[in-house]
Amino acid sequence: MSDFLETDLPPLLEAYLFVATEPVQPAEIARLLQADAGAVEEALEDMVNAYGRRINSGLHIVRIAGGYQMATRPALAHGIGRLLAAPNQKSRLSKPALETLAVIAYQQPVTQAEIEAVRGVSADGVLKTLSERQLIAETGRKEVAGRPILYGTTPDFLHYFGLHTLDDLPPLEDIALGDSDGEKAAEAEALMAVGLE
Amino acid sequence: MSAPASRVPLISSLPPVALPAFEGPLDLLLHLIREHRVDIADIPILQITDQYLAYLRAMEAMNLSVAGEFLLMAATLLEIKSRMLLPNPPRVEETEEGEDPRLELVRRLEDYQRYKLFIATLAEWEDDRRALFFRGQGDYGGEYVLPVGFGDLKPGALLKALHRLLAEAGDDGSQAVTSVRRQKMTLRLAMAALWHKVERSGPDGILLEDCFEPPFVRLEVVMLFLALLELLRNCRMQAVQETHLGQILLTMQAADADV
Repeated sequence: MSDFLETDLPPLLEAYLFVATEPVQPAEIARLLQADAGAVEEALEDMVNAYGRRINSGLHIVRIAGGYQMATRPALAHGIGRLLAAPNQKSRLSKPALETLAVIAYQQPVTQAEIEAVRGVSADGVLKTLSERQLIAETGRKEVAGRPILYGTTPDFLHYFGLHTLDDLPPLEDIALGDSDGEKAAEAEALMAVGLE
Repeated sequence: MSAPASRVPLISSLPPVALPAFEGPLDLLLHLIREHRVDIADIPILQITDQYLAYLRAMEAMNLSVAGEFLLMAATLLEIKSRMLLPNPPRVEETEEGEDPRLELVRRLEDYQRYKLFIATLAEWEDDRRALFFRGQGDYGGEYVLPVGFGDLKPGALLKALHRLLAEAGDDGSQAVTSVRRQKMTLRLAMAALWHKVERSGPDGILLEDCFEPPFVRLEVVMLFLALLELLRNCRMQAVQETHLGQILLTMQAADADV
């Protein structure tokens, strides 16, 4: 079936992980090498563990956006950031952007009107920003009057938040409704500004 | 919303601070509910509505424009309030009329609250992920080479391919400036052209339809017609139509002295 011995696989995968600029997909590797998908996945999992055990290494392998990717270890973030002078670090997402993303992630495919119904405010600008950053994409049209655009999250969305699959999102019903102190403080501040507090 | 803020005296002494306070009407409502420590499932709608309107008035008093969505929510609250004030209809049709008018709003608030809580998690994930660095896009490798295989097309793959091609193409130094050529046809030119045409036709004159030569360009037709009107207005020529819906003959003004 495969012209690769099982022992050839780990070094090859390691090399591929090293050069790849995007998460490597086991199924894709299996197809290209005509190897067994299960064996590839297993070898990748072994590598995740092997790198995890390494001492004095700056690298590890993460499961992200449906694949595997080599990355620097989180503890080195500060140092690496200084060395790279963080040239490409895009700014963090704003609160409205996060809110909109959350709604899309859970309700996709979803129209702009549906997003706005949940958030109670217009989503025009935010949708544009999120599309430009390729965190969301049009997935089709809803077959209702006006055929509005349907939005969904992209693999880049998963990658941006370090998620492996959409299943990593906790069920929405499980999110406990209670007070969050940080939120409360922010709101008190906001209200103070208009003199109601 | 220009009603005097008489019921909210504390607003008169507002500090001169301007802040876009809440993300939206739901955000504000959630705050009010939390602030008054009331059960979200049993909102004292009269009290909350008053508070909500007071907030909008405060925004107005500070010359903050009150966005439409805040007004929409105000209308919703007032509608619920008025329905709550009505005596309950006899409980026959429990299903529709007897339903608590606040239910829909409560459902929306709870949904929104869940998302609001969840974005804290998202922000944490964002931070965690930003602590990781990956290999950047290098100049090697043939990723995103067109054509992208059919069926392998992920959202954004084409866009990435385009970005890559554009990056490889680099800046060719040319400025993105397009020059728009001025229209050749001006009213003055059209008037001159028409006038010459009529002049050349001599005392017999020329039929209006003969002034318009194919191929017809919409702009030219309009301009010629405007020119004709202008020339007629200036008494530089005359138009004669002998029969109703008949042909129109253009001739030079017989004698300038007539004017």
